[in-house]
Amino acid sequence: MRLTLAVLLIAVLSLTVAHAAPLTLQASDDAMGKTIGKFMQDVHQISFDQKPDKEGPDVTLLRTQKGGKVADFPFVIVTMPYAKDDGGKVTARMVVLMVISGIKVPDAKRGAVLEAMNKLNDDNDYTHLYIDSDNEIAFRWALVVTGSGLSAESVWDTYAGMLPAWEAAGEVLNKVIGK
Amino acid sequence: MRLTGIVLLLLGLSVGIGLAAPLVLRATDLDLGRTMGQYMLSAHNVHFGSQQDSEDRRTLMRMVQSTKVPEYAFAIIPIPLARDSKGKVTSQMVVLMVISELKVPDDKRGAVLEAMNKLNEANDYTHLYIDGDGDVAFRWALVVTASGLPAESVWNAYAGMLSAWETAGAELNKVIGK
Repeated sequence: MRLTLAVLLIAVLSLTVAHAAPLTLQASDDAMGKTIGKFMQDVHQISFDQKPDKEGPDVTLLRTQKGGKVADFPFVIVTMPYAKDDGGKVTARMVVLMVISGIKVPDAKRGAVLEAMNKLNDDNDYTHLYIDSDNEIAFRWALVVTGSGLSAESVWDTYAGMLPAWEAAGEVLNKVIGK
Repeated sequence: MRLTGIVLLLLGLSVGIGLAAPLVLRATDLDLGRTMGQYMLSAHNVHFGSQQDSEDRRTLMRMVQSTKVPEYAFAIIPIPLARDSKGKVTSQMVVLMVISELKVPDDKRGAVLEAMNKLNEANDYTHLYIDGDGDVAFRWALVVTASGLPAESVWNAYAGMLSAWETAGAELNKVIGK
């Protein structure tokens, strides 16, 4: 009887630890945007709007971020299948985080902006800047959720890391453009 | 007695599942380079040499051969990213990089930056730039948070970067005229 009680206690403790374990995103989750949105809200009290995908059950997460040194900017989190097995089952999923800067690069400043971006991309591990096909500055980072999963905290960490990185980069690039 | 048996069975299963769980890298691991090197070898049969720096950080390095670009070095470097008030490491960055040794001549710099911009836009996995020595550099960084990072994510980034570099390197070689 005493052994049973001891074993039951250990079992309950194990279950408690499992419940307190950090959330792990799974590649098979075809509504991962919703999962991330809920995590951001529940754990970090950060609310994202959810825009339903035209195809499938997932959503794109979107929030307008207050800029201190730069203008307010939309921040987007999009998830997409990255690899599938022979049966069409998703085995890896990409989580793309991006700043939609709305900063247009004039043709006359393009070379100088590319040089400044190159320096920022060199100086910072977390910075992935480019000029998109609409001639606007884009800032993006991607995480891959493999078959082993990925801690949802990694998405938060990336989001939190990108905000100051964009403030710093946006300020430099605005100066180069002459804003 | 039957209850004890069932509970013991459940515990045994939990331990079994725990043992079969994928390796998770920990921010507190002060020899992350060694852990990753062992994982790459045991799980994927890929061997990296290692080198310790002055701060006892172990950098992993291997030469990669390719039919599309010249042979190049690939490095994986763990770097402490944040510490708590007692100095304990709470997160680490794992930087993966191609050391291309592809020199960009001054007269091609503008064209190379334009080509890199296009590649950086087209591929989520691409983080290309010209470094302070005028060489093409290609880098990716992962963060090991307090919640850990599956070691398989490092493998995945490594494997993704090899094919991305084959494409990008071949494209940039053309722009440079090699």
